[in-house]
Amino acid sequence: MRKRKAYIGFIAPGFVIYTLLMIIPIGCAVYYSFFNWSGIGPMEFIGLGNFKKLFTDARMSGIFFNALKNNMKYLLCVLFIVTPLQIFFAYMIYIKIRGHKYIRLMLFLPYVISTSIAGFLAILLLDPNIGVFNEILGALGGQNAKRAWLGDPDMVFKIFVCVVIWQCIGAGMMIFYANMQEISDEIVEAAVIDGAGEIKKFFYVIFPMMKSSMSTNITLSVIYALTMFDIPYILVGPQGGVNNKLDFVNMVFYRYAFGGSYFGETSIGFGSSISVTMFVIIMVFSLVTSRLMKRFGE
Amino acid sequence: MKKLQKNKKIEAPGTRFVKNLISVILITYSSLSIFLIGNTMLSSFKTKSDLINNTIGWPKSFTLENYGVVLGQEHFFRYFLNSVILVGVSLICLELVSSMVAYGLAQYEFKGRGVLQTYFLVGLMFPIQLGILPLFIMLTKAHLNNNLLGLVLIYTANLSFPVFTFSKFFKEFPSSVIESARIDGASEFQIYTKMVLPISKPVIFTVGLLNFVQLWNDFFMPLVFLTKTEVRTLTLAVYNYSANFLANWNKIFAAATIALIPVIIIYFMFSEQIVAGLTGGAVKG
Amino acid sequence: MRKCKKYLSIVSAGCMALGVIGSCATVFAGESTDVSGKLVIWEHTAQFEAPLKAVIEGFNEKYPDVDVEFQIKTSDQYYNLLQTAMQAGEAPDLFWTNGTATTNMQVYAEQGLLTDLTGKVDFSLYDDTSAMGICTIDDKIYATPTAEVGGRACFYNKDIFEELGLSVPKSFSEFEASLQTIKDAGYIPIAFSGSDPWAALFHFEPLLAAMHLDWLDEYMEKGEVNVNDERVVEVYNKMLDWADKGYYGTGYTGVDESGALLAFSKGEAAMCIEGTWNIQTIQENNPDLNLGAFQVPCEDGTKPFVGTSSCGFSVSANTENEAAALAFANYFASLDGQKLWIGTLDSIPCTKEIVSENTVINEIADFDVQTESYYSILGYLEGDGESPRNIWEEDQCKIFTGGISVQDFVDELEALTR
Repeated sequence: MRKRKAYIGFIAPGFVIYTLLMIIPIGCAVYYSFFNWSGIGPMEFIGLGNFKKLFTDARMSGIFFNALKNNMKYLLCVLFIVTPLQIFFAYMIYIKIRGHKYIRLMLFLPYVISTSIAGFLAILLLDPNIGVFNEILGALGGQNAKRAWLGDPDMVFKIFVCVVIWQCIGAGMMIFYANMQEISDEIVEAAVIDGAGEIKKFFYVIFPMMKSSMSTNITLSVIYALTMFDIPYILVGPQGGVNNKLDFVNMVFYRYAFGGSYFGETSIGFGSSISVTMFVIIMVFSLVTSRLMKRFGE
Repeated sequence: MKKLQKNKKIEAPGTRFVKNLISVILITYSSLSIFLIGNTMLSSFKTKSDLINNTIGWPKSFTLENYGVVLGQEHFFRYFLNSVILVGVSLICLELVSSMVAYGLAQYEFKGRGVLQTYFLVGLMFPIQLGILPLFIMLTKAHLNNNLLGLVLIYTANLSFPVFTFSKFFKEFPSSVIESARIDGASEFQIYTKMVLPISKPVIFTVGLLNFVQLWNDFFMPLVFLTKTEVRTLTLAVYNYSANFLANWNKIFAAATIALIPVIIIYFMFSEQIVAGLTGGAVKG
Repeated sequence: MRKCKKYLSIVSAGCMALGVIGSCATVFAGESTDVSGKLVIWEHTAQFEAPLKAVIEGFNEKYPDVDVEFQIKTSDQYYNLLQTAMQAGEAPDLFWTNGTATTNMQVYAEQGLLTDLTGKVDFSLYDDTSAMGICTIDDKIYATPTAEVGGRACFYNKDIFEELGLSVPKSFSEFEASLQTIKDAGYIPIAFSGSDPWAALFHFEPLLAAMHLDWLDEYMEKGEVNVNDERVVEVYNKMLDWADKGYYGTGYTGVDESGALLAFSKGEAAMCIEGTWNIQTIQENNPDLNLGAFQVPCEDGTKPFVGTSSCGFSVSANTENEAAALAFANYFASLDGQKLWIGTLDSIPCTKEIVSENTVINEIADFDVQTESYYSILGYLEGDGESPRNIWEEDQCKIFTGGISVQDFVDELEALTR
């Protein structure tokens, strides 16, 4: 019965508009990546020249791999800091600690603030001269207690992770929380009667039942980590921050495709090759994650 | 509720202390957002010279001057209306088109289904900024540049994430219900509109809310495609202020507040729904 | 019909060009009302919104039938947006570029996207100035200049100076000594952004001029110079030394340009060495600030001034309303237009024809010699490969955070010059 042709009618409208306005532009980008092209004027076919420059040019490959390294570093942070925190928050709400309704509302709230406003708020907090944090530190410990925050190569990445946690933790937390809610009451109650405390209950009952939300969250997090752009961009601008500690591949792409902040030399061809490379990397990662998830699920 | 009380009875005092401590920490932490948003709103009532010396804190005297400038001289009503139309129409199209795709993918078996599923995920993996040049040329040729409809189409095409979420929900949909409807002689499309959609309300809310936030806050696409004042959106106007915030920083708080209020209201109204929608299926592997 | 329009536009454009030149003005004055239609103008940053508005108002008094629409972009997206529009054949009628200071205008000119304004626009206002340089490629003029000199200056808080008994320094060592006095009094001596390469540049260049005017003179005389000269290194090291002494405040490497200007206008810092185009922003930001400005002096008391010409608007070669576009270009380049532009922007005029009423401007204009910009020199000397200016933008700020040593940084730049 399921082998009806009706699926064509359901999929076709989305397929057409998605192909036209999403896939074709991506296809164009793949095409551009084989050309030396500023975005205007004649295009010069250079084969794999852009890719060669990206991987072998001493300066360029340094920039690219540094950015890729940061993407990976962030991915590790997601897996080992952000995701556990999301699970922790979700569980705290699930066991209804005091004020859990308020906490749930507030943890998700920053997600609705647009990044341009969030960037402005970051200046109010973090600016070394006029920011709230340094005013507090200055009042407590004098001038020397003040920090450079985003200007400190050892701190900038940590601050970035904190900002991500603050702004983006809500969505994943909700997915975990929803999953926990679905676990049947009988199983949980049985554990409680057996005398399991909150910690035991979590590890023996709840956690093993969270495979589905884990798979959803990790799939999305991997893609998000590898396409990171907005938050570092508003925090430190297109140059990748102090000593390029906050440079991500999409920012490198952005800089080279569209030019720096004032120095406007654009290179759509080369920029495209960065995106195409990243696209391949994301595909590989997604495939690996979904394989791993399947194995983990069995 | 009963279960909770039972829980409490057998709880050791130490556990309760730890739990309360965690409560206090989390409440303090989550109040940071209240502080930031509250300060933004308070600052929107400050005069410029008050802002300079008193960036954080209660206004010395409340003034509505900033709102007067932003709403009166700078066409914020217009921008607000544009945003509402753009986001509203885009959401309806996006929900409809993506739920149909997801339903087709989840409830029918056909050759190449797996490939199509991956195909619809590709959009998540590519920076959309790179696609703007071909998009711009297409829209210009179709005379949809500087037209809200053009951007509606682009937003609708960005359906990877909604399809992902809907698919997970529809996969769990009991096929026996659908079968019996078929036997009763309902057409495929009727089944979808009369039966599936009403039951899918929670997930529609979830997708709607998550995408609402995203579209409402997007400034990049409007920056590229909506260059004329009469089609400018609210977020773009705020972005323009914050890009040069020194010159505009009294206006920026008022503008940001105007942009924030609708999102926050909608968020508080529907936040229960998000959980319901996610519970309904987004979590199903 | 179209042809007719084109013919008309050429005639009226010619009239316009002649019209502005005094002698013919009376003959052609009546023609101006024939110019009509729509014009779209793009500007790259909100800083120039007010002056552009003022010029458009002035233009509309003269040409009431032209409906001018202007769009302000943001500087980080500007060229991206402009090129996308050009590629789609939707370029605005007039648009800002950074002239010869970046490579963009040259690329557009090579692609035939810009109207050659030579002979079509009256530039006589700029006859005795160097303003045309920024608009000219191979003797063809592709944009209007502005009469504004984009200079650097040391802004200072007069109240703090008075409180500490300081006055405008007469020599470099006096300037340097004042920094310690200010620091001891608990103020940040200089608000400085170590995270924005451009803000760092506007700070570095006046110091280079004050410490080693001879290096700049060497370039001006010979047309070539080593950008990794030890004198350049010395200036950078001086900045690092000041940073270590706390003259830029704690954490200056995390301050962005807005933050630095804000700290100064809030009165937390006594000075800020920045671009002169920020006067209006500072004054608007805190109208109560007792603002003054001076040029950082050389040791012998010479007051050097680093100033660069600034570029106005190019006319798209594909404009559908060339008559109005050229009329606007003419008006913009004229004395009337520039009086409005400079008056609203509160910036330094390059010609004596325009006199500013802003006392701070007149304080800035109190200099002995005008000299070149380091960044411009990087551009003049660039070789065939990658531009040193690009590398400069990427690496400049790393010298403050130990990401690269000063010597390695300037060597890197030198390697890319010819």
